[in-house]
Amino acid sequence: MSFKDGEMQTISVFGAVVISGLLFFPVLYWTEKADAAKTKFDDMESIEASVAYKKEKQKQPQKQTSQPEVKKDTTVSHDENKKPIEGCKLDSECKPDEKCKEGHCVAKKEPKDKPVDVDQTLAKFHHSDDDDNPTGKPVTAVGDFNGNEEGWAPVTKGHPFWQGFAKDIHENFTLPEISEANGIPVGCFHITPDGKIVDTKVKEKSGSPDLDQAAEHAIDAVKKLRNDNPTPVPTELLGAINRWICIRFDPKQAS
Amino acid sequence: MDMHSLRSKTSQLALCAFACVAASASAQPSDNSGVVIDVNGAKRGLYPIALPVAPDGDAASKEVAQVEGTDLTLAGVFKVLDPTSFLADLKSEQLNIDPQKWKDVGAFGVVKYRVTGDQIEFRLYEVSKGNTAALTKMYKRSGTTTRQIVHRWDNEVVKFYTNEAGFFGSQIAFTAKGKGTSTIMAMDFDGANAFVVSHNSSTNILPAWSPTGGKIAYTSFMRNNPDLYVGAPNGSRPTKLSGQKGMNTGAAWSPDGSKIALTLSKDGNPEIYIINASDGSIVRRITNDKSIDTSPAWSPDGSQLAFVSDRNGGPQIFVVSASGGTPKQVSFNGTYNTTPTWSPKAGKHVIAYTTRDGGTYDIVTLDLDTKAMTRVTQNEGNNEEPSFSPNGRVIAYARQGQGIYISNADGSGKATKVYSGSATGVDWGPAPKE
Repeated sequence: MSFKDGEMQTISVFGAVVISGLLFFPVLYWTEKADAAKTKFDDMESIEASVAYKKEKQKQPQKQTSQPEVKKDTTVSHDENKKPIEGCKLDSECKPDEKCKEGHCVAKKEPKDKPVDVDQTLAKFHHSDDDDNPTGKPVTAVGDFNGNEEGWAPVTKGHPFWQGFAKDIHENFTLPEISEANGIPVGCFHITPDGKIVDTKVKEKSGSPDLDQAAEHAIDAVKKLRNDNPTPVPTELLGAINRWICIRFDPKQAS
Repeated sequence: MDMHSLRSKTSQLALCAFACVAASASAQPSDNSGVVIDVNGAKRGLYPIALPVAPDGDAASKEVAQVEGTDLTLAGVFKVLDPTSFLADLKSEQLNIDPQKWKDVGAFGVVKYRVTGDQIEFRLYEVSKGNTAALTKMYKRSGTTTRQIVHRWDNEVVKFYTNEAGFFGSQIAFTAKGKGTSTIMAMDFDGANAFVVSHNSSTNILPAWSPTGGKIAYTSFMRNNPDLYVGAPNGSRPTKLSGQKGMNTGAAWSPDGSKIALTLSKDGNPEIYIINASDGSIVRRITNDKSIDTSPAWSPDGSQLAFVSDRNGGPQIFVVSASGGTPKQVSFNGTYNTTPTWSPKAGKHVIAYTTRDGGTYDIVTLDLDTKAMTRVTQNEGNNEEPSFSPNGRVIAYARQGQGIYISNADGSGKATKVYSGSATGVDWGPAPKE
């Protein structure tokens, strides 16, 4: 069987329309569904924002010593193109505390506020152990807490702050000798930059009720301990606490 | 538009549509729940249990609380929580519990009870499982004492958690030293209801309970020679079982109660023998050495005997087959180890004994399989002559010049004094009958 060019063209166009329709329909359908489930899209945006945000690490400036604001000399024009006002030729034509300069009367005295020598000022407050690296250490600034995310980048593993945190938990993780120890419950903390724990949750239960209770007890104890005596989160870890910090409570000794 | 370009455009459109669908599907939130901190190895400890006193209770109600507190403290399993820390409103709770209130004070278990006219109702709660009682029992008060009822309930609690029989209601025999005399006595394991077993004015030492608890064997000098007597715990007139010339000491009943291992010196040198429990006739001589062999103790399955011998120098613990053979030294710590006793725990090969550490005597346990040694006492005076509870969880022993103490066999927790006075020769009787 053979088709003429016109027939072939018609069939191709029809086929393309059908295929396109079949392929686009699910997209349109899911898009509408996603619009309906607005919170999920919000989550997606949050995750993407978090990822983008992690890539763009800000440079920490050196000490936040701001340069004193230099007052503008309002008596002198800084406009090079500005034409002098025709007003005087001699000082006697001006007021007693003024003089004639470039054809107009200006104040005789120099401005009281001189620009501050920044280097000299900083030198006064310089300590021998100050970091002189002009770029400073990289830092991830604090964003809003995202309750939908847990854990943090592996780069924060082994940091003394987290090691201390884990130690506090281990100290309070006690399971009765006679209780079952099957499974691994997971509990999470919402830590604020000042080191306080504002919220906790049990993310996963182990299936051993006593073990779960032991984990809950450890979570509560550490929350109280850290809130009574908070240890501020180091600057370089601030990015990590935008999400839940989760702990796996494995009752068995690591091999 | 020619056919080729149309096909090409159609294909591109289709590919684009497919790509859009694929991208949409993969744009779901990723599972980003990376957990970073792993806390490995929970500390293992005693089971925290709360024993609140029933509100508005009478004297019997207070007695329940007191006996229960002592029982579960001595059980070797529980950490009884301080009642002053409790947050729950006991009056409104009555026999029920508000689990969160008990969780907040660190309780894993809670026991509630109610004493009414002729019965006592008990309930055990596992806090992690909510407000449904895990165990409930009702006991009639007629024909029994409150103490006995509480002991029975507490045995149920121990069995619930450990699947082992509890020892509440069992008794301990010991030698009470007086001025010029030594008397065999017995008491409840917690020190209550002490009574005299040997009604004579002579020297009586080294009591040993029969496996059923119906008899006590002990050595008495009432006829000048240290002979072995057997009598009922109620103090009825004892019968002489072994009156061999010289020592008839350190009796130990075989697990089936048919035989007794003891030290005889009828041939001049103290040796370990096995005699019939029914008539005292010698079944077999276990040791034959010029050294001093004493203090035999049966293994739980009756196949082995531990004893003390100084054949290698100072006194050390040896183990030998109950049918005889070559003894094997098992204690190697220090130069003085005596009074072995075998843990009754099935499947375990653990002995406890007295060891001299520097200038003081302490109780240690030794796992014969793993060679692991656990110290039960330390820096607490001179402690001697250990005896395991019927379930092997705790050990009673004599503290020189002070009395009898009970400690957890694993060395955890604090020792509890159950008898005040000069005592030696501690022997813990069998588990109470159901």
